[in-house]
Amino acid sequence: MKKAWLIWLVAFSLTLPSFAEAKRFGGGSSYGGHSSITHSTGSLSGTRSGSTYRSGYKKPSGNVTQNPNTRSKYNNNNQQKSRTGSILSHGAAFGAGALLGSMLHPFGGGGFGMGGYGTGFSIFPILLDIVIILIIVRIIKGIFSRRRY
Amino acid sequence: MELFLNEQDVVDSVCVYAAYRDRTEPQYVEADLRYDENLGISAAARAEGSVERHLNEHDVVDAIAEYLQEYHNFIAANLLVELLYNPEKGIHASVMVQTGVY
Repeated sequence: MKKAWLIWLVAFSLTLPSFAEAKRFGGGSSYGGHSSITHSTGSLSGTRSGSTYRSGYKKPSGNVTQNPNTRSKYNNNNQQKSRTGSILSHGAAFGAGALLGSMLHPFGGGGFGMGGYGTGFSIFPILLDIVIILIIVRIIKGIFSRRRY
Repeated sequence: MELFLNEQDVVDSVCVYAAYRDRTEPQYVEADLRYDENLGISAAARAEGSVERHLNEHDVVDAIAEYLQEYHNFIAANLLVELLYNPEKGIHASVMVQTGVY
């Protein structure tokens, strides 16, 4: 009789894990084959509803969420392009300024705009330039030497 | 908020994922999405001049999160990605965007 009880007890203890597993994986609709798959998050948790397979909602790995390299890779390309563009735009602005300056200078630029005054050397335009430069320097000095609170 | 990605979006995600790891541009990558009854959804990607790269289901989830982060300014940590397959639509994905999660 004792032997029969012991056999029954052993048989019950062997079948117990399979009951628990059936409960854990939710019965017949669960997605099987998990044991043969090496998966970063453990077993697959996919299910089927009708003809549709659903993997279940999953969070991305930490290396996606904390990886700054992916963003910087694309940003670096953009920065290189914009740097080239800024050099060109500075050059273009300088050229436009030079053109406007030569057109609007009252005593210079024989060819443009003002119709050919002063083709020879004259000291007066140089003096005017010096005066203008001095005025600009004073203004800049005035700006930077203001009292700060 | 919930987003739906069609098969082409999933392919794009895999291309972006593989391109970053193979140090190339996504347009030089070919992706092949696969569904197997035993293995679930997986993908293979091959950049020009590189060996084929195999992505398991979780890699595909990562690829989609990375793609949405890079190209659509989502925060990857706030995304929950579900991969889906049915014979009519092929492999597609549903993405839940969790708001207020930091």
